Formats: sequence, C-alpha cells, structure tokens
Amino acid sequence: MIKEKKWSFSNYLLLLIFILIIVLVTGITIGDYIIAKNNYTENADQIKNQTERDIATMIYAIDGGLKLYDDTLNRQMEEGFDIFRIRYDASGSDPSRLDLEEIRADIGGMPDLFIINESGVVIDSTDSRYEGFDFRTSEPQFFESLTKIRYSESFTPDRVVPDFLTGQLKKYAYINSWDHRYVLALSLSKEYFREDRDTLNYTIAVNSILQTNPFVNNIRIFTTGKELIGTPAFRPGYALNQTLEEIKISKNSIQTTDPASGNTVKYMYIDLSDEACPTDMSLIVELTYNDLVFQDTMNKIIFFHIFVAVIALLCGTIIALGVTGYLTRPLEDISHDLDAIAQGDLDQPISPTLGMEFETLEQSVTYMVKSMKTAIFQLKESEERLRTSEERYRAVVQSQTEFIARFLPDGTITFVNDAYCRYFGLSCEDLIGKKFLPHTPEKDRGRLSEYFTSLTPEMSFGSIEHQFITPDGEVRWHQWNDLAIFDDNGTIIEYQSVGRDITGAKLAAEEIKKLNEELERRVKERTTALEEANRELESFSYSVSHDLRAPLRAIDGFSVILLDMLKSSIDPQSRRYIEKIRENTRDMSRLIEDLLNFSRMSRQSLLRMPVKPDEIAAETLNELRADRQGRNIEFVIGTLPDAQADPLLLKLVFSNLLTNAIKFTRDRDPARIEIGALRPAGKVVYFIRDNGVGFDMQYANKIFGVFQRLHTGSEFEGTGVGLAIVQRIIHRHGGKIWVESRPGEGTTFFFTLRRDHDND
Amino acid sequence: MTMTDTGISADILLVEDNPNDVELILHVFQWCNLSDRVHVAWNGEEALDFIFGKGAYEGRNIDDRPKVILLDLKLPKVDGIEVLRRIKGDPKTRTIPVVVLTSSREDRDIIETYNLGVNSYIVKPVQFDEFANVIREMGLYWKMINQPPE
Repeated sequence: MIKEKKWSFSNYLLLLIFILIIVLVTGITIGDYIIAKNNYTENADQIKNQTERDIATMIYAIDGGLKLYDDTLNRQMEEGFDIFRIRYDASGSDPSRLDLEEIRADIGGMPDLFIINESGVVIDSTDSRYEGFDFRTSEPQFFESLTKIRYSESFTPDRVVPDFLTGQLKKYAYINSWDHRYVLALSLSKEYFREDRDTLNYTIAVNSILQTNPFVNNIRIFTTGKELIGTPAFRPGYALNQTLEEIKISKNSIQTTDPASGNTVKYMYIDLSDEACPTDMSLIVELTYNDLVFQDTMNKIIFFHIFVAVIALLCGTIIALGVTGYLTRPLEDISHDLDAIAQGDLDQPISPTLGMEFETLEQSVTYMVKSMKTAIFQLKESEERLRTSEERYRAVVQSQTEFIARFLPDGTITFVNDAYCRYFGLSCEDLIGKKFLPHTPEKDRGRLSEYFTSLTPEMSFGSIEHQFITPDGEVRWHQWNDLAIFDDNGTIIEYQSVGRDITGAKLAAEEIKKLNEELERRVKERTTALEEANRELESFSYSVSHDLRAPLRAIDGFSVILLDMLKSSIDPQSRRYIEKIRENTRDMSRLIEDLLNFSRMSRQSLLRMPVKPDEIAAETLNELRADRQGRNIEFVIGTLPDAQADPLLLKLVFSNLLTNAIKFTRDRDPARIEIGALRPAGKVVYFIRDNGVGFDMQYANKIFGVFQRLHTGSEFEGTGVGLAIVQRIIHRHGGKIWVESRPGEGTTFFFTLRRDHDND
Repeated sequence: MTMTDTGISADILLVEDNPNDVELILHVFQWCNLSDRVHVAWNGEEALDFIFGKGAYEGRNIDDRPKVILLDLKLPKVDGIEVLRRIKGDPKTRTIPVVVLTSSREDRDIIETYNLGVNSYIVKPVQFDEFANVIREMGLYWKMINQPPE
C-alpha cells in the first residue's frame, strides 16, 4: 500500500460521480425550470389575453343587448314627437306659446320634454332643473351632435345614458323642429324601462370575471366621460384623469404599472361609438392584474425545482457513495489480499468478486502469485545450488596446491587460498586487506609491472614467469596466470592470479634442453656420418659398376681372342676351360648387375600413383614368355584391388616373384601359379602361390637377405638378390612381405603395399 | 703409348684409360678394318690437347677433326664429362660426334651427358661377343655412314 498522502481512488471516483450528478441535476433543473417558466409565462399571457378578449366581448354583448332594450322605446318616443311637432306647428313655431305639460299629457304623461335652441340652451322643459342648461358650454361635444340633429330631418334616438345633471339613467330621443330652429327632445325615466334591463349590468359581468380569474385583481369600467360605472360619485384623480383623457383621444389601449402595488394595469379602449347615436357609448376598462399571484407561482416553481434538485443531489450523493463503494470494495479487497501477499503470505487467496475485469484481475494476480511462488522456489533452489556450488568451488580453490589470490591494482589482497598462505608462510587473515607483493629480484620488477598494466579488456588474460626470493635468500621460479577484471569504463579493478612454484620444472626443463641440445648435436653428427656413408656407398656403387666389370670384360674378351687365335688347334679340354672362364665372367657380371640394382633401389625416389596390380601382373607374365618356353604352367589370376604404388617398382616385384615361381616349379607338370589377393580386416594382402619345390620354413628369415640362396646354383640358377630387392621395394612402400612354404608342396609369398594404419 | 706426333690426324679418337679395353677395342677395329685411322688418348687431358692442338699436340691442325670421338667417362685427370663439356662448349668442335662408351649405367651420367649434347651413350657389355658387335656397328656407322658437317 502506498502510504503517501494522496486521494484514494474511491475519493476520485466519488468526486467524479458527484460532479456528474451535480452537472446533470443542475442542467435538468435549469432546463425544466426555463421550460416551466416559459410555459407558465405563456399561459399567463394567454390567460391575460383571453381575459381581455372576454371582457371586450362581454362589453360588446352587453352594449348590444342594452341597445336592443333601448331601441324598444324608440317607437313610443317617435309617436310622442309627432304630437310634439304638431303642437309646435300649431303654436306657429313659437315655443313660448307651447304648454309642455299639456303636450306631455297628450303624449301619455310620462316623458319629459325639452326644447333646445340653436345656441344649445334649453329654453323650455318639463324638468325645471334643465331649464336654461347650456349644452354649448357644459357639453360642447354633445352640442355638436345637437347641431347636426337640428339640421337633419330624421328622428334621432339616443341610448339610455346617465342624465347630465343627476346622473340618473334616462332614455333620450331627439328631432328637429320643421324650421330647424330648435331641437325637440324627449326623455323617459327609469320607470319606462323594461325590468330585466338591469340584468345587463357591466359591473356584474366584470365581477363574475374577477371571481373566476385569479390573475385579475380589479376591474373598473369608465365611460368616455370619466365616470366610473356603478359608482356615480366617483371622481378620478389627476393621474387617472390624464390617462383616461389620453386613451379617449388616442382610442388605444395602454399598459402601465401601478406605482403603489407594482401590479400591471391595463387600460382597454372599447369603441362603442355610433354615428346615429348622439352620445358616445365607448368605454375604458381598467384591468389591474394580480402580479403577486404570478410572481408567487413563479417562486413556487423555482422553489419546487430547487427542492427537486436538492433531493436529486442527495439521492445522487447516496448513489455515488453506493456505487463508489460497490466499485472500490473489490479493489480494496484485492489490495488487502495483495497486502497480505506482499507481506509474504503467498497462500492468501484473492477474494472472489463480481465483474469480468475483476475476475481477469483476480486470475492475473493468482497467476502472478503462482509464478512468484515458482520463481521463489526456483530462486531458493538456485540459491541452494549456488551455495553448494560455492562450497564446492571454495573447497576446490582451497584444496588447490596452486596459489590463488585476488588483489587490487595497488596490491591490496582481497582473497588468498590456503596454498598461497602456506607457501608464503603467512596467515590468510594477515594477508587479506594488506598490500603484499612477493619479493622479486630487481631485474623482474619492471617486467612484472609492465605485464600487469598490459592487460586490456580485449586481452585480459596473461601468463608470466619470474623469480622469487624467499626470506632465506633462495631464488625460486614462479609461474602465474593472471586475469584482469575491468569495470564498464575499461579500468582494471582487480586481478585474479593463479600461480605455482615451477623451480623443479624449470630445472628439469633446463636439463631437458641440455639433453636435447646434446641429442641434436649427436643426431647431426650421425646424420653427417650417414650422409658420408651414403656418399661412400654411391661412390662404391659407381666404382663397382665401372671397375669391377672392366676386368671381367677383359677376361672374357681375351678368352674369345685366345679361342679365335687357337681355333682348330685347341684341344677339347682347353676349350672347355676357356668356356668355363667365360661362363664365370657372365655370372660375376650378373651378380654385379643385381647388386647395383639393389643399391639403386634404396636410393631411387618412390613415385606413388594409382595402379592396377592385375594389369601389371599380366604384363609381367607376358614379358616372361621366354622363361615359360616349353613348360606346362597353369596361371590363375584372381581379382587384385587397385593400389597406390610406383608402377615400375611394383612390376619389378611381380617380375622377381613370378620368375621365382616359374623357376621353382620347373619339375612340376603341370605347374600351378596363382596370383590373388586377400582382404583380412580391411587390409589388402596380395599373394603369389606356386606348387613348386618349396623350402623348410626354418630358413624363411634368410631368403630375403642379399646373396642368400636356399638352392645350389646347379639346381636353380640365380644370384640371391631378387628377393632382397623385392623386400626393399615392399618396405619402401610401407608394406610387409612374408612367406609360407613347405618342402615339396610349394611356396606362397604374401605382401602388402601400405602401412597397416594407412589402410582404409 | 707414345703416339705424340704433332702432325697426327685420326678418323676415330678413342679416349680410354683402361689398356685392356683399348686393346680389345682396337682388336675389334682390326677385325673389321677400321683400325688404320684410330688415335687413342689415355686420359681426358690428352684428349683435349689432341682436339684443341695443345700440349703434346701443339701445332696439330685442329681443323683435321676426327669423324667420331669414343669417350670413356671414368678417366684420370680430366674426366669424360668435363671433356664432353669442353668439346660441346666450343663452336669449333661442337659438331664432332661424341659417343660415350662406358661401364656406367648410372642414370645421372646418362642424363648429364645427354644434357651436354652427347650423340650416343653406349654401355660396354661385359660379354665380349656383344661388346665386339657394339664397337663394330658404332665404328662403321660413324666412320662410314654418317656424314658430318663440313
């Protein structure tokens, strides 16, 4: 476990999940809040618009209804005017002559009558309160309408409107006098209205809206005359008056904010004007919205979202803790198990956990631990082996009779074996860590230091012999094999030396050297003598060939001349003697010839080449035709393996052996001569066998000697050199020759042409 | 033995130190009538003196060259090989045919004499019959049949 102060993985994981949750929750909450707020705002706006439309619609509807109600009185009033105008005419268009009360009675007694002059002044009325009322100054707008009516021809009914003076609701109607000098007017008071007209009440309708719409705080309806419907006594303040005036002129709706409450106030201009109607019935509706409710709802939404967010964060934290715990617990378990393993308990199992990755991890760790176990086991084993090996090597090193030491370049001993200590008469403990150099003669010191510094990483091994002077002053010889040990920079850090006292060997070697020199000298002397002998032999041969034959030639020559001179006078006995002399010269000549051949055979160089012995044998037989003349000889030539030999000399061998065979089978009929080869143990042994006279084997060693003959010259002619020549040739080829024979049965000569160890 | 006449000339110059051989050879020459113009030199020095007209043969006309020289190799004083070398080494005498007549059948002698330009190499047979035949044929050939350059 890492003890360093660091955040744990679980903390990182926790933080990560927590941040994720915060981001998610915040995102979702803000998003949802915006959507909710927009929805709500939109809904509120729609409700407002709807409310406004409803109010407008309602007002139009009520106005329409009221108009219908109002118009029901028109007929009655038109009939009233007929009477009114007739009376006016009857008076000669002089209102002063008219009795309005009388006319009222004629009409039915109910309406009030008014006569308004061209200046807008009420000149006469049944309602005394109106007498003298000047419209031009009091109601200039209405005065314009009156002027229009005065010039028009038609009956002009008005709506049920509040009375200018009392504010009571009355139905008015107007018509001009025929002469357009006056306007005649009638008014019906409330008693004439239909009873259900009151049901069409703006205030009631507005109240119903107020009750159903929580967003609307208050609704007030003003006439264009700035009267508050339902509250006749109401007089608007300055600000309201200004606002109403402004709307009345612009005929537009406006929206303001109530400075006191902060609520939104909407002023709607409802255009109900009618050309035919002298009074402008248009209304201004003041709507005061309850912004607090809106704000309250918005606050509720915000609060709700914050609440939900907090709950979500709490839940998220718990989940994060749970997930982190769930995810990191296996890690902690494994880490716990690994701690146990790290502390040496390799048998600690890895706790099983869920999840493929953890299973893989677990398997890997288990495998690793297994490998570690194996490795530790192997390590222990190799340690054991190493220790055994170390002991063995130490034993070997210590038991050596050779001096073994290791030392630093400055001569400090780091290791010595027992032999070293014993030899120098010092204890090993005294030597190790000390500088020690065996005492060497002056002449060797320079050479030694040069030798030690000459070792390189490429040639780190060296060997030197030098002298050592014992404390007693005795000079001994040492021989050392040194190995220099280098560091990575190629600097010598230590030497390892193995040495021995070679004084004995040195002396022995000097003795050997002396003996060798003596031997060499003697060999040289011998060689010289031998060469001398050879030269003498050569000279002898030369003399023999020359000087020995000359007398023979003379003897034979003069014998012939003597015979020639004596011719027929010579007696047979003398002739026979002379012939004997000649015969002996011939024999002597042959002897000399053979001896020379034999001598030459030893000196001639040997030419080795591949030869076919059977061909050579056949050729030789062919050349011996003369010897076979008149003989019955059966020749058997077997298969003769090829050989490496001098062909001329080999031919001489066959020639001599076959000549012998032919010669010594002279008494046989038929004679049988076999030429063949044996192959014992891979060797090749040639043989020539005859069924001739044979000889006693006790003389077998004699027959190869020069001039050695087993038969007398009268039995079988010959000089006794032939077999000596054969043996010499065979020996020069490195081969052997031997003979097997039995008297009267025949002889077999065997020979090889190579040394035994040359055979394939 | 004392044929040291300075005016002497010969068809055959026999260089041989062995008196037996000389006698036998002369005997053979006699038999076949070749002996009239034979001169014997008993050693190598004498042979050279004869050929080059020096010493005992001072004043001898050296243009009167023998038709053939029979030369033994083993000679006292100057040996046959040396005599041969001197004859074949001198343009004046190089064309004289030289036949080596010797007892030696040593290879080195045969090879050396041929290298020096000998015209023939004959080993003296021990048997007189053969010896006589060789001498006769050789003498006849070189004296009668062979046409030396002038």
